[in-house]
Amino acid sequence: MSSEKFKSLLVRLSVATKTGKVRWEETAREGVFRIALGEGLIRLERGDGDDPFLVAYLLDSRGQVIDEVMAREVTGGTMFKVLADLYQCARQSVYKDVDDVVDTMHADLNAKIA
Amino acid sequence: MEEYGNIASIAGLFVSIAGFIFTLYQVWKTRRAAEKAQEIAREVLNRAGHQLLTAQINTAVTMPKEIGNFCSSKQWDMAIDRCKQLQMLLANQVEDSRLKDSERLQIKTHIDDLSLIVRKLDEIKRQEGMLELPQKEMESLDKIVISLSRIDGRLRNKMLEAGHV
Repeated sequence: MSSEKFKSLLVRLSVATKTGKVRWEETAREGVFRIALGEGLIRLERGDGDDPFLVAYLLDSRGQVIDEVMAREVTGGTMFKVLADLYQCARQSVYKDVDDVVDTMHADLNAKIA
Repeated sequence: MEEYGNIASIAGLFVSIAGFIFTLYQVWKTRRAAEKAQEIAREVLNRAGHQLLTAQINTAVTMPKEIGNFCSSKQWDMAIDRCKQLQMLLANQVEDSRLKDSERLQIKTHIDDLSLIVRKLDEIKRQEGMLELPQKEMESLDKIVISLSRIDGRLRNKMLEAGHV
């Protein structure tokens, strides 16, 4: 049972991620992303296979799932669009972080060999 | 005779004032002693709490390696069990005020990573084809060790600085 508050947080998070205001991080699992905000964490996952879906979990500080939003590709809907958008942005934000690190390394290397 | 009476009254007054001052001093001394005792008790509790936290984090540092070993020897149930123990141990410490905010955040993410690892281990148990924990999850266990070792080091240093050993 997902609360409207959590859904609205996901919508706001999508905008904040797009504008680079927040940074997502990788998790122990490939293709699963996470962000920490306040006392909680949000974990975003994509399920592939015959029935692809996207799910966002809201976790408390002890790692308990306290809310979740799930949307299936088959049924579509606004929430699936929000989650798909968020997933894409989260993924980009994680890899942008990697790009930024490589950029600083290039800059450092350039300075050293100049 | 009256003069003696007056002198006695004045002397009595001085004795009363002295007595009152002495009583006040005793009250102040008693309060001071009680405050000091409270302070010592707080310090002892704080020291014990710090030692307990350090011991727990130190135990936690060794657990990801054990999980890795169980995975290498394909003892999936043992690996799952140890992951859950580590999760519980970390969940019990995550709110400790002796931890820095950044350390609390790290511990929160470790708890979540362990959930994902448990899920993967469950999948491995069910699928006969998949025989080992993927690299990504193994790397996460290493990251947990590094991060917890840092916290452990900081807590130990703090204990040494404060003479809590």
